[in-house]
Amino acid sequence: MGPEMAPEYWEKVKQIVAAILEYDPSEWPGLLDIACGGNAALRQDVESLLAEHRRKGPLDETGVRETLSETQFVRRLFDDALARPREERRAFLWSACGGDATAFEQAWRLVEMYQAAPGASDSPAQRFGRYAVLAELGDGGMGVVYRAFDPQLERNVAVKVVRPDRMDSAASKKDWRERLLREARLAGGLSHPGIVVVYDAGREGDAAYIAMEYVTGPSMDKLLRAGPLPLPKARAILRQVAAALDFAHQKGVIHRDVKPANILLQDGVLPKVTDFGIATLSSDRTGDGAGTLPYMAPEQADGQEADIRSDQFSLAAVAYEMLTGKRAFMADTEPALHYKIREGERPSAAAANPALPPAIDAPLHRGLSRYAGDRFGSCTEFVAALEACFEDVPQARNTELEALLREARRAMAAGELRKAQALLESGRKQFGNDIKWRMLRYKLDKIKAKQEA
Amino acid sequence: MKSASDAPPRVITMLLEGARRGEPEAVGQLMSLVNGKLRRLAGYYMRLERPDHTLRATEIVDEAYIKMVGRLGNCKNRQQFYALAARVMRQILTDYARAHLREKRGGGLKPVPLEEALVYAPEKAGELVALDNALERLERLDPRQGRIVELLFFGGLTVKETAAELGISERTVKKDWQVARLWLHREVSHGA
Repeated sequence: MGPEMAPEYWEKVKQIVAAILEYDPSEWPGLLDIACGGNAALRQDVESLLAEHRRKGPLDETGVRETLSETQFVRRLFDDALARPREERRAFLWSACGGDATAFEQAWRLVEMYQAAPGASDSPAQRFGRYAVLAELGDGGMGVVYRAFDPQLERNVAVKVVRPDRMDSAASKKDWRERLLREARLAGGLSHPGIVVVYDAGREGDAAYIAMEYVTGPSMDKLLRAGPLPLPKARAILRQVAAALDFAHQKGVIHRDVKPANILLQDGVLPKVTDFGIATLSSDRTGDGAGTLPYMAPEQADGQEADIRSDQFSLAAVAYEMLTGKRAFMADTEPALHYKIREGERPSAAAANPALPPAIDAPLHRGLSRYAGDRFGSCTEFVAALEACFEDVPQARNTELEALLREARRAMAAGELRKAQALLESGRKQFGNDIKWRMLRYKLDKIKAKQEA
Repeated sequence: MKSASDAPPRVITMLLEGARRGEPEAVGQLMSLVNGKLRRLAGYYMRLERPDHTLRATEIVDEAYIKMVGRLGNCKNRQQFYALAARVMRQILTDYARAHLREKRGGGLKPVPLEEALVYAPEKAGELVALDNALERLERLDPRQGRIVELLFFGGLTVKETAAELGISERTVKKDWQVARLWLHREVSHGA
């Protein structure tokens, strides 16, 4: 199409190209057939223009406002600045704004927010969609999770990326992309404080990614490396995880891969379940199965369909580990582990941790039943049964403490300070951390100090 | 950031009348309407390594002012005013780019002071000249489409403003722009 082209012909080409541009590129070949028919020259002209679609050219420069809103313009400045090394970013922005101080300030503020975040890169930042990578949070084999900055909502997010170079075939690439999108759709529909929110899904080059709520805190498996959790904390966490799983189950979503690594603890306290949907294909995963097998329900390990009670089994295995600091099922080889899960005797938590009430084994073993039908009706039901075992333990302890304090108070009222002190000291080891014990001890010290003065 | 559409057309018409009568106040106010857009465009073409690049951008904008003030008398309304700003900006940028290329080829020409002042990012000058040439061809083929590119790209107007200036729908502006973008990019990249 040179200058010799007739305006009428150009008008025709223009209309066709504009019409095709409104559709997704995957549909363009079919549309070309319809629009150009057998006219090979016309088709070639249209195609050569459409080929420019993805390429960046001079008209896409930052300096051009064209179709950009003010916010989009600032975002573009931010994007272009981050594509440069740190020391050039400020000068670039200043230059690109050409003295437009407001645009400069807004874009520079975003760049500074990114640069102030721990892990920010001094070389051109790695991007996934609008998200700017800050640091790697974890590498799960086929996917990497990053902490990243979202310039649009000005907050940190977690971005899970599946890289095609980690896949062996085109088929598995497609497989993983779909799995990731599936996770986004599944978790995206689950709005619950105990479930990690999925914000967004997209593609960057060959890689597919999802952006999720960034949870500031360790995952449960990191916490468990230090041994069993304090009982009140373990119970609070289990209650909330059970509620989150039941919520998902009511929405028809089965997690399929409940394990300590998939329970994140916001600020170390509030549990948030993550990795929804990614485990859908666990059964046909090869090589990587060992990582999740210790928490897998027997029916799942056998390759059968998982249901909500499979999640309950996994939760029970996690609960066992939280209460004892040990895995419920362990073996040297995968087949041996598989056998234990299916046929082996259920381990005693009370034996593994003497601080636990002996009654705890009954609900744990029911949750870990070989047959799904023998388990509880819901995760919450399972945790409620666990909690019931604890009921009398603190009560007994409380009664003992109350009796001690009563006696000490009586002694203090009678002026027998030495006796009161001896009584309190006798319970120091057991109750020394209790606020009521400490308050009385404090009161006693004050009375003593007054008398001596 | 003030957008040009913030200024009511009547105000611009009044300011233009003032400018024709030679009121410096009116000229200043008119220029402040396009200042941000012109600076941004100029700034983008400056070479980044130069510490004094914003000064250079200012010089370009100043020159645009001088050129515009001389022709303000021919502008009757807001539409013509923005068209003039875009036209002047395009002229200055491409003139400098051409001069820059000539100088680089070492054609034995004595560098003009202003030309020296304008330091283009290495690849930008050639690109800009090629774009200007391609845009001229597009203008012959489809004058309205050419004006849309000039207003959006060189005038820094938004789609909404451009639609208002040309009295056409935003949808038409967008469609024309999208196809023009493809066409111009193809022409520029093929060195046609």
